[in-house]
Amino acid sequence: MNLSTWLQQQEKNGHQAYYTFAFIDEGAKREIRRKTLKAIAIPGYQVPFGSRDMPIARGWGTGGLQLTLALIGPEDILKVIDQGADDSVNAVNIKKFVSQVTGVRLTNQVQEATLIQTRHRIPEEPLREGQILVFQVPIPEPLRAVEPSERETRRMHGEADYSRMWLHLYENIVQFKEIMIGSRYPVMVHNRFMMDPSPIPRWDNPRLHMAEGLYLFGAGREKRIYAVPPYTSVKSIEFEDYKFRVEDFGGVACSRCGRTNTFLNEIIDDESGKRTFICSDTAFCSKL
Amino acid sequence: MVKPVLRAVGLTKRHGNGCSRCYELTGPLFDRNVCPDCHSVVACHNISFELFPQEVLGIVGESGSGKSTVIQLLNFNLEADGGELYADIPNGNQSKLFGQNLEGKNLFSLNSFRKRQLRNFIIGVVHQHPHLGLRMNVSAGGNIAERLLMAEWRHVGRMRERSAELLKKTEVPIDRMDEPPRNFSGGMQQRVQIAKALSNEPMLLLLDEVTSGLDVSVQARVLDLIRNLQHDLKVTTIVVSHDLGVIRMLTSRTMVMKNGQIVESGLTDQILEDPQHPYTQLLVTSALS
Amino acid sequence: MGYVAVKGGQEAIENAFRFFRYNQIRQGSEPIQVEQIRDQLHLLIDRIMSEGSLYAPDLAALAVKQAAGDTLEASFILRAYRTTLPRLGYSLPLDTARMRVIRRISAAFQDIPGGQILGPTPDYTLRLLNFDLINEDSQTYQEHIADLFQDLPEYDELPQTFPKVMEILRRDNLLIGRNAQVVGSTKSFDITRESITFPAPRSAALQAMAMGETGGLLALAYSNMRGYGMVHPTVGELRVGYLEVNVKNPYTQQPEKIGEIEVTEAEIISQAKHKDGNRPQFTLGYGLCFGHNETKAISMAVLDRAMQSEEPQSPSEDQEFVLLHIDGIESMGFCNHYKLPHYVTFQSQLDRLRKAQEKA
Repeated sequence: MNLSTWLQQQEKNGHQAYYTFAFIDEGAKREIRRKTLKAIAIPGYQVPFGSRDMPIARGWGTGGLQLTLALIGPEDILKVIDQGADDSVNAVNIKKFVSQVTGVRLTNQVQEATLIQTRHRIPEEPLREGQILVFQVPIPEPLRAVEPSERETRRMHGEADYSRMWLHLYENIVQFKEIMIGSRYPVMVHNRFMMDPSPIPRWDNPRLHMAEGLYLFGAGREKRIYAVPPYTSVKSIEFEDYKFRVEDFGGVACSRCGRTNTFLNEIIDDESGKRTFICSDTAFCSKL
Repeated sequence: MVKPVLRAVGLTKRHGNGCSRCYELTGPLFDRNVCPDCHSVVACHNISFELFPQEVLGIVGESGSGKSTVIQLLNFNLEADGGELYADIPNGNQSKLFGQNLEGKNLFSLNSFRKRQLRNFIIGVVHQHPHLGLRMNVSAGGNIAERLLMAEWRHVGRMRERSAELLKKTEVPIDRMDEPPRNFSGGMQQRVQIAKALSNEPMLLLLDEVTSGLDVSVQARVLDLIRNLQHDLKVTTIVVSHDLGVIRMLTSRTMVMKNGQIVESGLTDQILEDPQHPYTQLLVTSALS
Repeated sequence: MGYVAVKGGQEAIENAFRFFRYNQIRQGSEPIQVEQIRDQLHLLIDRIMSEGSLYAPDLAALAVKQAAGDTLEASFILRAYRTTLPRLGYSLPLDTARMRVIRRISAAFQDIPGGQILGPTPDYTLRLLNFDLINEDSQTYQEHIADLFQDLPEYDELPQTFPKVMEILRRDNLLIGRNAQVVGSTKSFDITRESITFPAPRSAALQAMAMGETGGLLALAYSNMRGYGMVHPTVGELRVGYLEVNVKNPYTQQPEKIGEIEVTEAEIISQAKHKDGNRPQFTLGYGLCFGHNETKAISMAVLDRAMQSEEPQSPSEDQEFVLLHIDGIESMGFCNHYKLPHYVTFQSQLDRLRKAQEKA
């Protein structure tokens, strides 16, 4: 299907085309695609781009959304998740919008989707070649935790001067005998750039490494795009004697599907504080 | 013949817009370093010297003479407006620089990434003000670890051992290793800074007025410490100071700077006993009186 | 089970929005017309157009209605709409000396060539609630207008343009030259097409402020005025009026008028600078925004000057600090995104804390 047939169909179905296909004007889409190619060419490097304003608020996934809209074609099949769930408020909102301005098919199945937009999770099911996972990124700069100035952090990346982040980890260990970073755990991409993997849990970090799919990261408010191309080395930073570790659920099983090998959400059941656990990836949980 | 470790040729640094006459109208001859035409400051001009292995070279002069500028150029903190810098890096250290061969290469022409590597692996600096060299809110051990992390150490236990060893050497109580330097006295902060600078066994140590901010009694102890370390570690060092006492105690060879230029250089003893340049004579006599 | 149930999210969202609409109309008062908002709340419209960075009074009024009067939300809606519009070209530079002025004042001189023109402003009135406004209708409006024009005295028609106060100072070499303030490239940066990097050129800084949130700009500028800064401004000239917008006709290469916009321009004089042997001169801060919004224009001018400090000492002098924190749409969005679920990240934090407690 090409654009004009899409437009014709829209009109036939009684939808008046107030907006262009995929909302963003074509000039802007081209720029986003160019910047995306640059990001893929320099894995882990944050490429500045002229971030457009979206009808969803800054900080609610405008970076991811711009990538999705710039990349999507009428024949794509889209999955959107938030916290791993297809039915989470923000995911629903974004899905509804994209489908309104493109008419693409939606799915909950990882395998069926050609394009997946996510906030805070990587699906439990691995991507295959040709699939794209678009991350919504609130703070693209991994060094922001240790350095507020953008000018300075760009210098640090230029010189691969990452000692401040390492020092942050060292001081954690001195103070807590543990590395205290929960999510947004920094990684080194292709042994060159330190990268913020977006606020995914540490659980998901290993799946960035040598993956088959393409990972794209969009930060709308901060106006940066970066990428991890397929089959790229992505290592969570760690010391020889204090290793990177994923979250430990102590062998608890999901109360819905019974799996013990997924990332779990802890749910406080009643006022007594009784806890149960269920998979954060709802599509995977429903799958037998 | 012994090859110099470091060779500086015509180091020049100017602040301001500059004009064609800056260099001919400033210097000790005119007793000024501000260009009367364009008001630019010629911080240093045409500074050349060689530094030999294990040597301790002094640079003496009053404030504004350009001696600290020279240190900042050597540490790549400032960008030179002229001049070249060459280093003879021993094979053992070369591997740390990803095997790049720097022989015959002007270090000022390297990109900032390479310069950063040189700073991380080859050079150690101790500043006059501890806050320039230390993170006051990070533990003393963490401060030392930072240098080691820059040099790509990745083992917390071993870094802590090394920090403890260095703190012991610089006479800082080891039980204060996990305390931030902001809790320390000036003298102790300076000793932590020295430990930090020495942590990754630098090829070149730069000491910039390290005792100037300290009380006289504390000064003596820090100087003693530096002298003992020199004796033990034999690091090639440049000592910058306005204080002839410091120069006499630590250095074997000295350059005297005034208004951005070298007015005299030679063996430290000789310069102190038999100064040739009137400015040096003035320095020496006023120091003794 | 919280507001992200595993199922049923979609329906809840739709109902939440219906409820929002209901809240707006449930009291049963007369529906407000978009043109009433546009005409009678024109200062609000000016603010929305400026922060939404789209000069479109009707659309701005629609946005205000849709947002139930929330200014951040209304500018947000307007700005999102702008994304759908292609950038067809750039206008020719507008010369504010040719502004059709409706108000211009100078705090620097008692009398200025062309005179002080107070124009429309409530500045010099007492802010007492005017209860007469409660029971107005269209007839009262007509009577007001008739009253206004009834006993008009003889008056001279306003000249088409006014000389700029700053030019007088510049002629006497008392004010810093135009070129001295251009930092970096003289070509205009376009912050809607390129992401700002620091140090940002002045054109980028001015653009970011022109679409900045009035309150945000004011807070930072005020911090400078109060003492966290050194600008000490004098309003050299503040003018409000209309500017012709021209574009170059691609066929004839001639300028072509495409319309007129109302703007507010503030030029503030600040302390003297002594540069490299030259004679000291006053420095200048510049502010310009869509519509009639004097607070914003003055704040912008103060910040423009503050950011020219060579060694920033206070937040308002730090270009990065100012420019990255004044956008209302960005800051409001990010602030509110904390309402979104963060179960996953919080779970990770819980895991770390429990581990650390075990070891303590």
